[in-house]
Amino acid sequence: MQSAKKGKLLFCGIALALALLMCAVCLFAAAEDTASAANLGQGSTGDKVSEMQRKLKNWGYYDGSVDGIFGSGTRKAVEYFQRTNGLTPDGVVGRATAAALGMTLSGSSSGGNESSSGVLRRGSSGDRVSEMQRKLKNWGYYEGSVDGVFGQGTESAIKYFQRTNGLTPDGVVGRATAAALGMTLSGSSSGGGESVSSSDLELLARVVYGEARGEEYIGQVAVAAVVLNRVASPSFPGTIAGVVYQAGAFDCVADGQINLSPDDTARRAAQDALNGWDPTYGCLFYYNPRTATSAWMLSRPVKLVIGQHNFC
Amino acid sequence: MRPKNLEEKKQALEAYAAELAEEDNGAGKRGAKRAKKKRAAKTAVFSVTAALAVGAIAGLSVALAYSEDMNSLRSEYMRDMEGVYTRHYYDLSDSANALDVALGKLNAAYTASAQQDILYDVWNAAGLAGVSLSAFEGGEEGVMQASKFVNQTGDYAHYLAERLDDGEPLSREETEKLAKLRAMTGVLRRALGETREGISEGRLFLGEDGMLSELTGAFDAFADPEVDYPEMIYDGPFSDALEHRECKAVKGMERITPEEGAELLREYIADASAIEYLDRTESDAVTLNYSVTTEAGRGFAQLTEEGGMLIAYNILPERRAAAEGDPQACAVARAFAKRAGYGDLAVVWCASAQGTTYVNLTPVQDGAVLYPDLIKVKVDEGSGEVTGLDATHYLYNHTDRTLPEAKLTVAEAEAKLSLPAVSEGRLALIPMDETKEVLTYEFECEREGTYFVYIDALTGEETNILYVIDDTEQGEMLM
Repeated sequence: MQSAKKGKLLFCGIALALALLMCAVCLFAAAEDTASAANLGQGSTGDKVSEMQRKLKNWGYYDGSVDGIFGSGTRKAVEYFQRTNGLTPDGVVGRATAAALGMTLSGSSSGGNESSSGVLRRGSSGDRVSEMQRKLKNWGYYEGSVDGVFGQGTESAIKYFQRTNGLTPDGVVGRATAAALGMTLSGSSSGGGESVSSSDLELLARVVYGEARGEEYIGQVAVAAVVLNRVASPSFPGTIAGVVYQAGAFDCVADGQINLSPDDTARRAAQDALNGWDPTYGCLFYYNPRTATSAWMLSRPVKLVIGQHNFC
Repeated sequence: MRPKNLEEKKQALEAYAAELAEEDNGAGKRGAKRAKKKRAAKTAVFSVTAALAVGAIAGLSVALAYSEDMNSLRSEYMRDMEGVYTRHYYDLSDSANALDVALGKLNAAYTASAQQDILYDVWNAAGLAGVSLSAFEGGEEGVMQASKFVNQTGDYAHYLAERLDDGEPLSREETEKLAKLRAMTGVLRRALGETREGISEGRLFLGEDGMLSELTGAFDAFADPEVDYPEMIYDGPFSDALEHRECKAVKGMERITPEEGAELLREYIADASAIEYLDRTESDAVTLNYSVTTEAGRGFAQLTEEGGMLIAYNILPERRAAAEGDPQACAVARAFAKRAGYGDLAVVWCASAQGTTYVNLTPVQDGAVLYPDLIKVKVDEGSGEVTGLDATHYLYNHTDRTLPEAKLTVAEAEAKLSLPAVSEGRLALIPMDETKEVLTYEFECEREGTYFVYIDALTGEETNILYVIDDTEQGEMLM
């Protein structure tokens, strides 16, 4: 009898554990990443919240003020952002949401060791160091491995980069060096005066990346040129953001790919278009003939074909 | 023997009976064990079933709560978006009414000052209408045409208001054009009228039976309007004159074949290892398009079909270590443009961004740099190679010009500056209002920043001011 009791207890224990496990899985799936201590949620304050609000505002998810306070308006904006980016709309910025926002959360396990100002120096580690090493390696300044650890080799490479780019060769990646590397420092709080033109370049690069990554370079320049041709046309809004976010104008806005971080090629294509390159000579539309369904669009005379896109 | 046998048999039987009893006893124990096992198995099945049921109920509860939450969020966002569309609809209605009223008032205004005030009101109302319209579906032809109407009307009104300021009165033809534009405002108001009825009936823009697509469709009246939309040719950025641009630089030149084009490209791009003809572009410019491979990588080049001019070249080089400063960039750019047949060009601007130096070049005529004919050349700072050329402005604008005689000396022009000049003035032909060209003196000035100031060489008026923005991502820019 005693052994039967033991067996029953054992099975009941297993059953309870199973039930608890299933509940935990369900709750975890629903709550996504709320468990991390570094998450941002309603009530949070500080530079990270400001950075997030600025991004949400720049991308059209948030209309409130960038005050560094995570209130109900910010929560709604985060939920809106999460919904349009295929994330669980819980209004909490965990690791997944932060990644989609192009942010790292202080204290998150992948954040590595950065100073609070975001300055990278010998001893720093993490994703930002990897990004910097990758750039240095691509541009021929660094031969070591991209391991996310700021060691002696990385410091030498930074000094070499600084020397050849007219910067003080101190081996420390501050704002000026980061800017020359095409990076922003995660903790940099003095960026309040970000110029409109940089935002335009960033937004245009996002459209290019969202709409035409994988296309050959000239096709990417052409997509950016179409956006700028629309800005100059009386038939469309008069700003880059107005054109990009006009309802139904670009698929990448509808499916949220506009919020992916653009790569170097997309940035260079956007830069070329802003500098005047327009291989389409005034085209206002492009479409993929294999997927387009609009009869009106398909009836327009095609002026140029580059890769997957017909320009008209 | 017999009794003995019997006894033996009896004993044997007793032993056998005992054995059987013992066996029976063992079988009973085994049966009990089997029963115990069965009970244990039953308990296990029951426990697992119970666990699964509890888990499923918990999962379902969470899913239901989640789904309820999602539905509530969805409704919230729908209401938010409904508010956005309704607001833009009302703003658009107000702007359309204001536009109609202002254009109507022009009939009564006979002094230049009153006309100017009203034209600025038209410009303002049209601008607001344009912003509201942009909230509705882009890419729909009706919405596009409606946007074109309000933006052109505003642009035209601004142009006329500025012209009145210069003392030039409205002509009869212009007054008639403004009357036609007022008639078009009626088309816009009618398109909005049906939606107003829907709102009165309690209909919404979104959801089932939503009016959004009906409203977008109502703008189709602009694609096939009842009133003839006047052709809008004037000196402004939205003028119809700019819709289909003429390629002045190659007008009347002989057409080339794709093979001839490939030969020309071999001359222009000396280090090209492979040139392949791709296709032809029939846009504002008609071009022959080629894929070009050089040491730096694979690129794209366009030649005008008429005249075979290298109009665009672009290549994406691999990032390499940047040369220090790269003072050769300007010389390399000039030499490349010269080889492509553009002659001796002046360097008017040089900016470095993201490993590339952008060099702006212009032709020089009678000592004046010709900004309308701007040619841009990209030089990769890593390799020092030319990685791009854009001569679109040259293609559209370059022609044999007769420049007017400057009426002011450079010293007289400099005396008109309000900022201290840090460079000697030079003559520069600059584009104005997209369709005009003005001969000016260009001065670089400094006061808490760098400015380029342009003084009209004929009238002495300050015609344009450009401010240099030092941008970390895009290099120096002019605004």
